[in-house]
Amino acid sequence: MVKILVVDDEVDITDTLKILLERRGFEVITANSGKEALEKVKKEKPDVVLLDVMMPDMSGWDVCKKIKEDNETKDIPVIMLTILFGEEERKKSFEVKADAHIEKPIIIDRIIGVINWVLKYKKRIK
Amino acid sequence: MLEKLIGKIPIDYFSLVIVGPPFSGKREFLIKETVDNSNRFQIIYVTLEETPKYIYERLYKLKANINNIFIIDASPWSGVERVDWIKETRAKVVTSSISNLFKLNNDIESIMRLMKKPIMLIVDNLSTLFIKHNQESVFNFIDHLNSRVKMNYGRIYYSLHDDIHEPTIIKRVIYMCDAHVKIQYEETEEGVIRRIKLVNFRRYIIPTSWKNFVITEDEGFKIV
Repeated sequence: MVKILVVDDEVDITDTLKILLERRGFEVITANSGKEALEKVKKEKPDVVLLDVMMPDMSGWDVCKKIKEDNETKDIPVIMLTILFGEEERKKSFEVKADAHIEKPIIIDRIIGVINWVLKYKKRIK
Repeated sequence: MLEKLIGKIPIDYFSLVIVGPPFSGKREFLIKETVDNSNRFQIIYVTLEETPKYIYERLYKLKANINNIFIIDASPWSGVERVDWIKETRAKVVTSSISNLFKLNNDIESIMRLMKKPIMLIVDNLSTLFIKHNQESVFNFIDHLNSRVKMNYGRIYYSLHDDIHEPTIIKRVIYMCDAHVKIQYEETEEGVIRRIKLVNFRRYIIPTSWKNFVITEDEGFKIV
């Protein structure tokens, strides 16, 4: 089963995403801070990380950068989720080597499409 | 399908890019366009993401005129799987390379020269190339195809994923094409729907609006 780490400082959002993704057959673990996310990435080795950009302790971009700089975790796909609309924000996600950047509101079909694409095609292409 | 979306198509030779999130329906749109035009055009379908078997079976199921369709397989799937299928099928398939843009370009050119005009070239999907190669070489590849196809042969359709590229890539591909079609998800009271719109057709004023669509196994892409 595909394991997804959902990271957001708002528990409501991680809970909602957990329910929606589990309904579609994914295994979901959650983290509510950047620090907790980095610990869980190392420990749990998820197949994909869904990562909120705006978090109080560390931004999602900083978390993504750390994941991608670490040889042990750099191949784990990271999908940024954000309420920030704009080209600069999108650009910043790809500068820190995120695999995708999705703007909220959460539309689960869109998120699952990106997850499936990353798992089905991107690994083969690279 | 494009005619259903925009009414009468103003010119015969043009380039078009369809942009939308992964798995939102771009391939089904291209397959439907291929089916709809397979009696009028000779079609080259370059598959860079999905297996040629999948593309062929989908086209066959939707009753495309298979005799007029050539598939160029530059997909990243396993060679063994591919060879077995090619031996068994009656599909016209040429194996090219995702890793070598020069070879891919030459393979497309060689097949175009063999085919009767007008030709419709489908490139599904540019995102694969942007992941595999540096941006400038992919832009050069697009530029070259655009000029060759539009000047000499017919029309060209590309697909490109939204959400997985930095914005400059998407903007520049859109700028390089005559027409831009967009797919997006929308939340409504009835749930999530998918919709499609022609955003722009260079030099022509075409009044358009968002249209909802569904994809069915038997009919493919269908505006509702």
